Amino acid sequence: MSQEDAAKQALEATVSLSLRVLKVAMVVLAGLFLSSGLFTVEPHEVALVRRLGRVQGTADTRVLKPGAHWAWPVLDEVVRVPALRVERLVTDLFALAPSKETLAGKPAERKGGIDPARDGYLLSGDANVVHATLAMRWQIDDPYAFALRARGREDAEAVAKPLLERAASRNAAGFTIDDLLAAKRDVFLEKVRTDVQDGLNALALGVRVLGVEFAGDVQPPPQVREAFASVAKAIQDRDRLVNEARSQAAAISGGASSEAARIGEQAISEARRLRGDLDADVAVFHALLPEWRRNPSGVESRLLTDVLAQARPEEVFVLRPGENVRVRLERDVKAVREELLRRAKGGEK
Amino acid sequence: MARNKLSIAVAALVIVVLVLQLVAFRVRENERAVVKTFGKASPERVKEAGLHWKWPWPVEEVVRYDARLRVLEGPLEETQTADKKSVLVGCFATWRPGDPIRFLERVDTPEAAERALEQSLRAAQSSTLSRATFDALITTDRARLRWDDLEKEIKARLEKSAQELGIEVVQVGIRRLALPKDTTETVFQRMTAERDVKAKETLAQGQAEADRIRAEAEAARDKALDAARAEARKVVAEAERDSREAYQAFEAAPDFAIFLRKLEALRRGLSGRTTLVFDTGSPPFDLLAPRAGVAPVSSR
Repeated sequence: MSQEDAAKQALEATVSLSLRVLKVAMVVLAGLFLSSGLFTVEPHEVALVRRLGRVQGTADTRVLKPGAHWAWPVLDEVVRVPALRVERLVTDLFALAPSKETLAGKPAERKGGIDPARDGYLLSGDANVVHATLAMRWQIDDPYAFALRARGREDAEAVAKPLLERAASRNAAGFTIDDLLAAKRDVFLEKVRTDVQDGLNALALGVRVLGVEFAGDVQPPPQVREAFASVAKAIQDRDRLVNEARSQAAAISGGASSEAARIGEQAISEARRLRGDLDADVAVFHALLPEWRRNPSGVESRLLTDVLAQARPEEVFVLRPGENVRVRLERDVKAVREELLRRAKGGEK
Repeated sequence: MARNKLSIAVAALVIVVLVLQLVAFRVRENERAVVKTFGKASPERVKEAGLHWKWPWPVEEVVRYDARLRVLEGPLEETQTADKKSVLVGCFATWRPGDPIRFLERVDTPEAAERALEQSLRAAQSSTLSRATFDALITTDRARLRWDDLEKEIKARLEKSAQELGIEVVQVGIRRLALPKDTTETVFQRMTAERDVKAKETLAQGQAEADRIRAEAEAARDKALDAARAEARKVVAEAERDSREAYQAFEAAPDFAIFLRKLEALRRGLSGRTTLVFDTGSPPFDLLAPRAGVAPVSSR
C-alpha cells in the first residue's frame, strides 16, 4: 500500500466517523427539540396552547388542567393563566393618606377642609363625607377570555380597579352616611360587587368577583370625629335607657303575675272558708236548735259566756256601776295603758 | 453520495428556516398587525390571528399592536354643574386600538394614544357634567341619580374623537367624586350640626321608648290584676251563691241563726290584740258586781 492510499483511507475513516457523529448529534438534537415541547401546569394555574397565534381546541378541551402536557416547539406557544388563585384587589382612593399620627397608631388629625389631592373620601347621598378602603376578592373564571383581554393578574387589576372605584362612588352617592357607616353597609357592598361584576362582564374579561369588603374601618373625617362620637354615645345611652325600661317592665310583669296568682289563691281560700264556715254554722245551728227551742235565753247566755271565756284579749277593763268611761284611741297603746292604770289607781284611792 | 444528500438536506432546512423568517409571520388572537408596503399601510393588509405572509424587508414590514384592554385614569377635574355647584370629578376610560391603520397613522404608540385620549376625556367630562345638576350625581333618592346617562354621554363624546385616532373606547366611568377644599369646611359644619341634632333625637327616642315600655308593662300589669280581681270576685261570688242554699236551713229559726252569726262575729272580733271594757252588768263580769253577802271584787 502506497503512502497516498494510506492517507486516503485515513481521511475516509475520519469523514465516516464525523458523519456518524453528526447523525448521532442530529438525532440527539431532534430528540431535544421534541422534548422541549414538554411542559407542566402548576396546581394553581391552567394553560392554553396557541398554534400560530390561535388558541387550540374547543371550549371544552382548550383549557389544560394541572399536570404534564406537550406542545409543538416553535409552532406552539403555552399561555399560563393563574385561574385557581383567589386574588385580592385593594383601593385606597377613598382613604385618608397616612400621616405621622396614623403611622404611630393614633387617630389621624386634620384641620380645615379636605385637600382632595392628599386625602380621598366617598361622598354620600346626603352630601356627607366618609373615608374607606375597599377590597375586592376575585378569581379568573374563563381563562380563554382572560388571556385574550389581559396580560396577567396585574393587568386585570388595572382594569378592575377603576370599576371598583366607580361602583363605590356611584353607590355611595345614593346612600346616606348612616347607611354607609352602619345600617346598610352590607347592602352597599353587595351593590358595589354587582356593579363591578357587571362592568367586568361588559368587558368580557373572564373574571368573577367573589366579594367586596371594607378593608379597615369606615370612618367619618377627623374634623367631625367628636360630633360622631357624641351620636355613638347617645346611641349607647338610648340603648341603656331602653334596656333599663325592659328590665323594669320584666319586673313589673313578674310582680303582676305573682300578685294575680296571690289574688286568685286568696279568693279560692276565701271561698273555701266561706263554704267551710257555713257548713260549720249549719251544723252548729242544727245541733243547738232543739236545745235553743227549749231554753233560748239560757243557750244564748251560755254561748256568749263561752265566747267571752275563750277570748284572749290583751287587756280587760271592768267598770263599776255608775262609773263613767271615756275611751281615747291612741296608737301608743303603752301611753293609754299607763293612763288607765293611773286612773284606776286614782279611783281606788 | 449519502454524504451529499445529508449536506443538501441540512442546507435546504437552513434555507427554508431563513426564508420563513423573512416572509412568514404569525399574529396572536390578542394582537392586530398591519403590513406596511414600502412604508404605506392599507386596510387590505391588516391581519387578524393566524399565520400570514409578506414580502421580505425592505419591501414589506409588520407592525403589531396589542389588542388587550388598557385603562386611562383621568385627573380630578373641577367642574361647575348646571345649578352652579362645584364638584371634582375623576373619570377613567378603558380602551384598545380599534382601527390599526388610523392608530398607526395618528398615534402609533399606546403612550401617545393615552396622551391624546386624556385631553379628549377631560373635555368630554367637563362639557357633560356642566349640563347636569348636582343631584344627578348625589342624592338619597336613587331614582334621580343619572350616573349611567352621564357616563354614556361622556363615552359618546369621547368616542367621536377616539375614532379619529383609531382608538376603540370600551368603557367610560366616573371613578371619583369630591368637593373643593373650601366646600368641605362648610360640609363639616353642617355635619357637626346634623350630628348634634341626631344625638339629641336619639336620646329623646330612647327616653320615649323607655317610657312606652314601662307604660305598656304597667298597663299590662293593671289589666292582669283587674282580671285576677274579677276572677277572684267571681270565685267568692260563687261561694256566696252556694251559701244561699245553706241559709235556707236557718229559716227554721231565724233569730237563733242571727244570734249564732253575731256570736261568730264577736268571736272573731275578740281574737288578736283586743282591749275589752265591760261594766259589771255584762255576764260573766256581773259576777264582779256587789251582791248581798259578797264583797266586791277589785279589777283594773
